[in-house]
Amino acid sequence: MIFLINISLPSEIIDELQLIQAIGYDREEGDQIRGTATFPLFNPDGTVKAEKFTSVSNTSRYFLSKINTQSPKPLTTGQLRIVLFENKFAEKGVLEIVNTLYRDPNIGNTLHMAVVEGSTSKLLKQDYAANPLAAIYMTELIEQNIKTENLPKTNLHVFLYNFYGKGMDPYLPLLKMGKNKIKLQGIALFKEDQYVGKLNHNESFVFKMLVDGSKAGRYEVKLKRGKEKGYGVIRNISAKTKYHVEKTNGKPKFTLNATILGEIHEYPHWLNLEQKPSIDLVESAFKKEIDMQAAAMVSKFQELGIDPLGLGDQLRRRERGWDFAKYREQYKDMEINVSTKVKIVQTGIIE
Amino acid sequence: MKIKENFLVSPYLVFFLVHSIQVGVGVLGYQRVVAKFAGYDSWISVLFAGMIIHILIYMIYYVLNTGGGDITSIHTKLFGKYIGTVFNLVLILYFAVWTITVLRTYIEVVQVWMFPTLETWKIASVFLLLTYYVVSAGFRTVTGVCFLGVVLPFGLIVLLVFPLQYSHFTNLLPVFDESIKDYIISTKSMMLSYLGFESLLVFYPFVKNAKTSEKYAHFGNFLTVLIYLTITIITFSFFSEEQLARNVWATLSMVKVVQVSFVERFDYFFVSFWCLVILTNIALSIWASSRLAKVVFKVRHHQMLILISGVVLVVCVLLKTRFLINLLNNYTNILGFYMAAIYIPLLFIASVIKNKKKKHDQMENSSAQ
Repeated sequence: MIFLINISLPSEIIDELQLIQAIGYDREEGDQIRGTATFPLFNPDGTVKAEKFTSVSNTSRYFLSKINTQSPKPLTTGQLRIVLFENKFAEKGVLEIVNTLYRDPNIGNTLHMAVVEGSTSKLLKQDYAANPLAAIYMTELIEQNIKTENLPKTNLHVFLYNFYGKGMDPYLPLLKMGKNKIKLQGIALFKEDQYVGKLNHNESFVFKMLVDGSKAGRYEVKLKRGKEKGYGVIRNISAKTKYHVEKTNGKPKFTLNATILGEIHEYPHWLNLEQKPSIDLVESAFKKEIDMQAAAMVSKFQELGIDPLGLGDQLRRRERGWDFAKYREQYKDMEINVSTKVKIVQTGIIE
Repeated sequence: MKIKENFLVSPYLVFFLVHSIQVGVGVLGYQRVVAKFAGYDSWISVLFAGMIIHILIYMIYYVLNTGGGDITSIHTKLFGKYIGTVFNLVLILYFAVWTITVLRTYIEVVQVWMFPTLETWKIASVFLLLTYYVVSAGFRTVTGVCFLGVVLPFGLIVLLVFPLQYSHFTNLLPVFDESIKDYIISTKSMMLSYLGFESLLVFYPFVKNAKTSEKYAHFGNFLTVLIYLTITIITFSFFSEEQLARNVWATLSMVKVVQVSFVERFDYFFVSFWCLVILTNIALSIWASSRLAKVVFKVRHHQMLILISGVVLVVCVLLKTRFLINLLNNYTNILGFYMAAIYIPLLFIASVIKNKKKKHDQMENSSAQ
């Protein structure tokens, strides 16, 4: 019986497939889509090489069929790791593509997506020193930065969670191609499914703290005492944010209380960390900078009319019969305060 | 009619029988249907529907304990020969439709998730041949398969730990934010996922000391409620509301995030493993349907078994699209709901009245003496 069903099943043998690892989408003239797909080619001597196909079509999926006409073996999406959107492409909206990816049972929920400043086709065609396969390079780059740096958790599932959740807006990593390398620029912010703004690496630190809470990331802070100036680096050990809402006259007012436990990694020679005032100086300088940056970031969000922090969702949890439309109207001139508490808990193995 | 001792099963096995038939294809994607009305408050409905099932199990036991155990003769005793026969036929049909719904829905899952080009008749006939093999060996074998169908897939629960890294339990807040009407509607749609326990009506005579098995039936249902509640809460914290509305098989989509070094995607594993669960569902319901038919039409059991399997196969093949399958699911839900909400209480009330009358008559007889 098992044998019977076995021979009737369509089999897919891995050596006879071309496993796509990355797809990039660019906008072409006349609203057409240029898709670029890369897949690994394994040479008999054990080395691996990335091969690329590119083609233009009207839909995100049909281009796969078109590039299949260039491929000796059938192309499949089962090993797809990352999908890239050119910034100009993402500005027009990515929902159709994202939903198509989500619909495909072959594609996992942990698929990464990213916005690229510049052409994704060029980015995918380039060879990189860090890894012969650009797709693996980027996936590892993103995962590594989620774990140890300023990038909040992102993937296909998180993007759609934020997209479909009321009172939240999605975000993705923002990449840029450099000479021989790919660089994580920061975070791409979306309004619904359209790319509308970005945060740089430094701002991402604050963003991650507010949105996810984080146990990673480094921050460079300007220090000043009298005439002496310098920079210190603080490594975040644990940062958490608590959201408080008050309502006055039906208008919500947010207070975001963030707490950061940090470790000093580097400091100017004129500071003596054995003395309490020096630690206080670092703490207060750090706090001031984070507060300022957070305030600027929040007002940027309000200006853009986006809510990547999920403030609306915070409100929804606390309020019965929450009115999303009304919240949206109020959002632009809502009072949102961020106040940070910084505690330096460690100074490394030397004093 | 008394069943021979060597065909009977121990009372504690009722636990596995009830639990295994309740957990079936519904687990893969009931969340969206339940959340449609009461939103993320519908976990309350999951709990509430489970409680209703407990009451219905109590009713079934009352009817069977006092009525002598055989449902077909209870029907005729309570409602007379003609209406009783109609009830018997409805019950036969009900279990057959239930089988079709489970089998076809599962085949759809296999087709969508794993093998889009696999034809329905191939997989359906393999399933039905296997079912024939199990059922023709008798009720004890069916029970054995049900036992395995509970124990073996139980490990899959571990997979629910993985989605927790993306969970937002605050999604459940604020609690009690919907109207009573919404809770009732979503309770109603939750019922389908708990159905199957009515097979008790049929296999009761096959249980040794059947009266003592009531607590095991309740345990079985209790475990089902617990599992559904856990999955519901994890699902609601994993998806945002509108995102869930788009996921036809939310449980599988959730398992899609599981990634370990030796298997990259666990949803395939889940779907494949689930065929064991589906087999128990189908085996027990086909057994129930054909057993009733055997008693009603007074023919040999395996003739009815072949006939019903044939009908199931043909209908499964005829249902070709998502739309039709959805329609079938909706109708089965309605049918099952009336089965649970009207038929069982009706049986219960009728036998309560009958018993009262009997007692009353006895009292009069004894006082007359």
